[in-house]
Amino acid sequence: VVNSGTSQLKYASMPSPRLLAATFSGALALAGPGTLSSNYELSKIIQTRHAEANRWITSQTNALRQLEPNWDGYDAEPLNPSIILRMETLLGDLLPHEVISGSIVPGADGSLQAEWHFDRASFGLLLEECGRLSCWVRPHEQKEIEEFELAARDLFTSAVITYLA
Amino acid sequence: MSGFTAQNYFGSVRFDDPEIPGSEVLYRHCRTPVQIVPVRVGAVTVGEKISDQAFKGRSSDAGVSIEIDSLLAKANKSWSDRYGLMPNTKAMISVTAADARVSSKGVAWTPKPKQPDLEGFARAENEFHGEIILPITPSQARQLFSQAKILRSDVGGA
Repeated sequence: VVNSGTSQLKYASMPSPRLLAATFSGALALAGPGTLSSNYELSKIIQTRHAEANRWITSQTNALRQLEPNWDGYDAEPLNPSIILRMETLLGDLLPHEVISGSIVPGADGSLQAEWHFDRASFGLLLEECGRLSCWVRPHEQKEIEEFELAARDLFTSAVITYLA
Repeated sequence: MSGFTAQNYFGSVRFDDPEIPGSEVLYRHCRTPVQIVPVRVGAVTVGEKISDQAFKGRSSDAGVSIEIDSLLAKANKSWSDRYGLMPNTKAMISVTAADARVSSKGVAWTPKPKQPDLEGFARAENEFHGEIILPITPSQARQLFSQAKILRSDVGGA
C-alpha cells in the first residue's frame, strides 16, 4: 500500500486481507468442504455471490438494455449489449460483497460508467465504446487521479476499499 | 441577432467563436433520468448531481448542444422559460463559455433551422442553439462538470 501523491487515498493493488478473508471464507462456506477443484470455480462462486449481493447492478444494467434510440433526447443510440455485459463482469470481479450501490450511467458516445459520489470523494470506472477501461478518483478538493487498463482495476479496488468497504 | 457567427447546424466542422465571451452562460438541458446520480454521506442519500456522462456527445456529432444565455436575454427569455419545452427534460445545468473552452475545442453558435420532416420540438427552429465543440475527453468532461451548476432538477432521491 502506498500513498498516491498528495491524496490520502490508499493505492493498493489487492483488496485488504480482511476483505479477501471474508470473501473467500464466504465462498468456501457456500461451496462446502472439498468441493473446490480449481481457482476458477472459486472465482465463479465469488462472482455469483457478489452478483447476488449487488443486485443493484443487474437492476440497472437490465434497465440500460431497454434504452431506446434517442434515450437522451439528443439522438443517442442504444448501448452496445457487449459493453453492458463487460461492465457487469468487471463489477462482479472487482466489487466486494454488498457494497453501497453506485450508478451505472451511459454516455451518448456509447460509453458506460459506474460511479459513486460522496461528500468526501467521487470515483468511477469508465468503459469506453472502443474498449478502453479507466478509473478516476477525485477526493474532495484534491487533484483527480486517473489510471487506465490494469492500473485502473487497481485504482478502482483501492477506491472501493477506501470509500465503500 | 448577435455578434456571433452563425455556424451550420448540419455541418461537421466547428470553430471556436471569439465573439462569444468567456462570461457567457451556456445551458444544457438534461433529458434523461439515467444521467442523474445520487450524492451520499455514507449510505445515506443527501442530494443528487448530474453525471459527467451528460457531456459526452456521439462520435458523429460536432458538438454537445447547449443554449446561449445572451441570445435568450435578447429575446427577453431566461433559462427557466426554456425549461421543460424539450420533451423529457429532467434537469438544467449551466457552465460558462470560459470553463467550456478549457475542457473542449470551444463554443459555437449553431442556430437550429426548422426541420419540417421532424415532429414536435425537434421540428422547431431554435435560434438560441449552440454547441460545445467536440472532442471532449473523459477527463475534460469531468473537469467541465466540476464547474457546472445544477439550476434545476426534477429527479428526486436516488
